[in-house]
Amino acid sequence: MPAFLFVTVFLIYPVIDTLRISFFNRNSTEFIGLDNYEYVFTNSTAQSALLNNVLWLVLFTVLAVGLGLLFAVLSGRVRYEAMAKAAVFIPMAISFVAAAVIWRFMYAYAPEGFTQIGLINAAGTGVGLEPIAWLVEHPLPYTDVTLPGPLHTNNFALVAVGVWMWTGFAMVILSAGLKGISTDILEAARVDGAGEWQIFRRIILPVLSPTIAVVATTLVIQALKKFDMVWVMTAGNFETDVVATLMFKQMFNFSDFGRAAALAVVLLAAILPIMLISIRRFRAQEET
Amino acid sequence: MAGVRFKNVTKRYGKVLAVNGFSLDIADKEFLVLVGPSGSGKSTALRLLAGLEEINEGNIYIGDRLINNVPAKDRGIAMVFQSYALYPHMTVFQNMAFGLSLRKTPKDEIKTRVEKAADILDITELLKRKPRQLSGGQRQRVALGRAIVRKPDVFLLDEPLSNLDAKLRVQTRAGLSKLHQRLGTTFVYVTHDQVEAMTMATRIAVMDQGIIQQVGKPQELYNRPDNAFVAGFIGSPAMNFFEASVTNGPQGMKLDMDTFSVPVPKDRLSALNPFLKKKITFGMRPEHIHNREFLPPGCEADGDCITASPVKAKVEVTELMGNEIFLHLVAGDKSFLARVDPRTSAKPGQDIEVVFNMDNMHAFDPETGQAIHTQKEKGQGEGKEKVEKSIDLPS
Ligand SMILES: Nc1ncnc2c1ncn2[C@@H]1O[C@H](COP(=O)(O)OP(=O)(O)O)[C@@H](O)[C@H]1O
Ligand SMILES: [Mg+2]
Repeated sequence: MPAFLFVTVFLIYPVIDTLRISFFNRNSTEFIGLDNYEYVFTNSTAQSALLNNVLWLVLFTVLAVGLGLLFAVLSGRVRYEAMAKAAVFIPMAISFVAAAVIWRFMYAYAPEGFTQIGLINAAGTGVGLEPIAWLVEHPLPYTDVTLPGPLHTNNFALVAVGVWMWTGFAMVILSAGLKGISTDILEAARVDGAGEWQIFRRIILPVLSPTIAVVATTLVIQALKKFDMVWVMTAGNFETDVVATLMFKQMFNFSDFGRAAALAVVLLAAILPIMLISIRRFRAQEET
Repeated sequence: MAGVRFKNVTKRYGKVLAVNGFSLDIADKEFLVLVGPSGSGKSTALRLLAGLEEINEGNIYIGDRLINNVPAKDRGIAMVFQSYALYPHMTVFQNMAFGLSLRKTPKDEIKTRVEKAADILDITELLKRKPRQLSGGQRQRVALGRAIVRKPDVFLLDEPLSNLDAKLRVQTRAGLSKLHQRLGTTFVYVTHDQVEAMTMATRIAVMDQGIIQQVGKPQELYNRPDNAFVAGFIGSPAMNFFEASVTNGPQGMKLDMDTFSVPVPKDRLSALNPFLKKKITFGMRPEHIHNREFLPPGCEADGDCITASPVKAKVEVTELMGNEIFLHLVAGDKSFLARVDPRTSAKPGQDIEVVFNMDNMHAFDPETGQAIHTQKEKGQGEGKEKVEKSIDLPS
């Protein structure tokens, strides 16, 4: 009973209240039906935030899991394994805000002809490339090509920082999973006639897939909740808003509680199925 | 179908010589058991043959092919691991089919071969299960099945029975011997258990510290061990060893163990002559020490089964095995074990008289551990060498 009470007070009530507020106007005085949801799905700023979140979800998750797996596999083969792993994992240990500040400096931009204090532009101009306002620009670097929707350079620059931070996490978990695969099995596959790639594809990957799923789920939820890094580096400007930053702005800059609540509900609706799937998978694993 | 030849193969791990100057010819269709204590380099030798480790020195041939640099998958071998190493995410069928599917074998042929192997091993009803849903014995058979379907030239097995319980191990031993006869393929089998070696092998190679100590048929190793290590390793319970002085008395040559002495049989006199007034290591298997009251048939009448000087010994512990009794005996400061007639009623603390059947004595040079063979035994040894050399393998 206390558990039920606890869940009601701290989980169910806030959710229901948020849901309620999302159907009301900016200061919750008047019921306005689905207007706030109409905003979320039709307003161009809100749409761009949703699309940016989709970009985060896909690109961030795929890259962090992929690179994490790559580092996990490679680090197992080098002699200075512990050091290599530590190097990849360190970003995880830094506060996200501090990391965002660091990367603001890395991406810092000054117009052509001025001294570049940003490491990347300093290096770029050092080899004769033009400086790029990484956190502002939309066209692909060093081209005039502007891709539609969230596929903008500044978004990529932000996702890259997220990947930099989370690859270490993916690597550590996946590498522990790799260590759990007995070498006998890999040797059996070798004797059976599998090459390196086939061993990876047909033995390591499937055996590791539950671990990959856990890591991916964690990262997907991270991607959906992404706030800190975007807020510190661009504050959502230049069309880099994600749902969480937009929600923050609606709430505290524009004091529109209704829209903020609607954004929160959409975010929750996106996360909930992922949580449920992973809980179910977790249960299924417990049973076998 | 192929024989295997190791030629002076050496494998080092850092400073550890895991396999040291290993030379061994294994004939086609042979069931060769590599036996030795833990850490003697058996697995390493097998893994060198499998292509899972690189050879430092020497050559390995399968059939007439030098395979030093041939990758594992192209060696025509299949291996059964001690842990079975089944692929956990695949069903039994998929486990067995994996090697074939990698070789792009047609689907229906894979199916026939897997089903045939499953039938031989009696695992047909398990084909749809995952490894974690199987018992240890079933997993072991699946691991065998996975090897069988590949139709390898040589089967490699590394302690495949060590994770089974005692009863299942005995059953599986017989099963493996039958399988070997049925498949007619070369088996190379690694174990630390000399009973497995004695019961299954057509030939045994005894290893210690990376070196082959002796190769021969099970009976040869038992009857005529080349050195004290092999003598002590093969046979259960293990051979008794005594430090003995070779002396000449009024009744002829004797082995003197201070508290008791035993006469040397006539056919050993010349072999032991060079050791007169020196020490040797005298070996006697427990089954060749008899209770004086229950001498085995043939022993009483036979002059070689010397009863002239029975040895008085005190019984310390008795172990009834059903059809025989093990007596832990002490004579002076010498302890030894005798495996005697089950009618023996001796109780711990009692004194009894035992007879050493000197016909079956063993003698070893205490410095080198090498057996001191009679001319006749040496002759047998040379005969054996010739047989091995006649095996048709490339050099
Ligand atoms: N991968 C390895 N790295 C270092 N030493 C090893 C390795 N494999 C085996 N050894 C050493 O080689 C020797 C022989 O080992 P092994 O062949 O496994 O013995 P066995 O199978 O007879 O028990 C042992 O001393 C062991 O410690
Ligand atoms: Mg071993």
